[in-house]
Amino acid sequence: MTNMLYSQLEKSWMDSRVSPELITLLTHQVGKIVPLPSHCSTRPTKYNRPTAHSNVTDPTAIPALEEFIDLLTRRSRTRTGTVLVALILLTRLSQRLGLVATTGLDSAPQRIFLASLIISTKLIHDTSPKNKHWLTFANGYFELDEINLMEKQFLTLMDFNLMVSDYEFAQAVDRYQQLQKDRCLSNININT
Amino acid sequence: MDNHTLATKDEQPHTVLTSVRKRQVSFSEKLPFYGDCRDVEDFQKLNRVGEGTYGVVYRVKDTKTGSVVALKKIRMERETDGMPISSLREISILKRMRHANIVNVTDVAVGPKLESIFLVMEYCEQDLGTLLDMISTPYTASEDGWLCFADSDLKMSNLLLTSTGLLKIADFGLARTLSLPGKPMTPNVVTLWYRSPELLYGDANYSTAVDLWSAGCIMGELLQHRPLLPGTTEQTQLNLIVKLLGTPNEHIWPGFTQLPLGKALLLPKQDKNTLKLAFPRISDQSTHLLAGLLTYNPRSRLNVRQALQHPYFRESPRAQDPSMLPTYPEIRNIMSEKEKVRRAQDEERKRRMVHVTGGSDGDGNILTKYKKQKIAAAAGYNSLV
Repeated sequence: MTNMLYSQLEKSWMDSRVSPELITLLTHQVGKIVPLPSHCSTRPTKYNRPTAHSNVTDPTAIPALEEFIDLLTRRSRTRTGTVLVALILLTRLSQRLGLVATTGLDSAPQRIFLASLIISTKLIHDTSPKNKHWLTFANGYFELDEINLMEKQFLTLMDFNLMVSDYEFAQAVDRYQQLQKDRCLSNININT
Repeated sequence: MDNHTLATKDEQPHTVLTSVRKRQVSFSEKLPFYGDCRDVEDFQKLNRVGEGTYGVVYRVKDTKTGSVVALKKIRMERETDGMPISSLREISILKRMRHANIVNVTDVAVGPKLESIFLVMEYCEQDLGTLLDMISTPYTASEDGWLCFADSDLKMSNLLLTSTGLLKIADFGLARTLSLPGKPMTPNVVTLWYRSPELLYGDANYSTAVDLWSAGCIMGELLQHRPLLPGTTEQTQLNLIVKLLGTPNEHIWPGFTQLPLGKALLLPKQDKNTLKLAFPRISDQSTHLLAGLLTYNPRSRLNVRQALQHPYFRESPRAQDPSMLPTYPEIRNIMSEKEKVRRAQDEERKRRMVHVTGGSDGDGNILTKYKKQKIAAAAGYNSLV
């Protein structure tokens, strides 16, 4: 897809696990499409990762977006490269739509993110998880027809404009690396 | 809790995204959601024209503009897979491309059902496959003006002619953008007859050279007026190639025995290249070009630039301007009624065959898979909205 960049970047970097900074970036981007519940944006980024049983109390309650992204990317073993493509698609969607004042239903941010991740994975991997697999990656919060529908709706909202150019990819990488640097600096400041 | 799950299932996805669009649409099955795509109801079905690898194609009238276009139904293999990867890529690539020799996609149309997704494309009157089947005089060399492209499924029925004689490539169902060298890709591409030796041998690091091989097969088919290498299995395909071109060796194609299927496929013995015998009446330049395209080693095969600069295109007869080419009646549409009956019988036969040979799905029984696709496509015929 982006032949120049893929060859310049370390494969290990592309295949690295999704970092908290990247999750912040994705959360921020989804927040530009639909408003996130306020507790979500003020959450500290270092939260406790939910254990397998932490959600049993209310099986229908969906975790906050950041937590959901973390859960989804870990369970699907999605790597940095793929998530950056999702970030690009989300950015494009927010440019197409602008911020929408109405909130829709509670899980709108999670749905939008899940759809973007499913589509990015299909775009760049020859063998990628089927939608029924995403069912389990998403911890059963959604039904199969819901997942199929959010995928189709994301595609129609994008009018199938899904190609990612070298330039766009480079921008996404820059944006992410810049955030990482900033984080790193602020951590040093705190420690000294 | 019951109420909650019910609400989630019936309303939530629609409400979410319609609200995002700020559209005053209260959702119901009768008022579906189309985003920025066209509504398939805008198109009036005229007749069915054929099948791509991954979908059925219809000739339709766009009631908004009055123009006749082609509508290709995206096939949802299984509900559990969601949107097929191939369709996702085909649509996004085609939407990005505009070229005189490509069947351009203007819109995507969607319907209320999940699987109702259609590509709206320019309508081309002929496909070369049907045309060659119906017209007895082979094309002369000058009419065989052609081009090369980075597709992964070049074959006769994917080459379309407009009524003005312009050649267009259709069906990018297996097209992909190239990623970095060394990143493996799936070798299960290209219709068997047009599949290059490296793909037969399971090479996952193939390049655009696979399309040049396909182009060679198409050139041969146009000159010979019948399929050049009509194999039925990977092994018989290889046998036919060897029969035409001789047995490859490490000298002409270094490293081919190390390819994944290097040991699995039997390599028949055949000393001579019989290309000249197969095409006794074509010019030396034609033979040279054909041999250059049908070269075992993908690295020494002609590339697009070399092929286009080949003296063949400059020798007489020169390529004719598209407007000078003979035009033909739209055989496909005349045939389509008869065809429907024949097809039904055909599919029924295939269905039985698949039933017998099926089972070993998943590990690359491509023929069986292909048959299944055909059957599913035929089944999808009646379900166009």
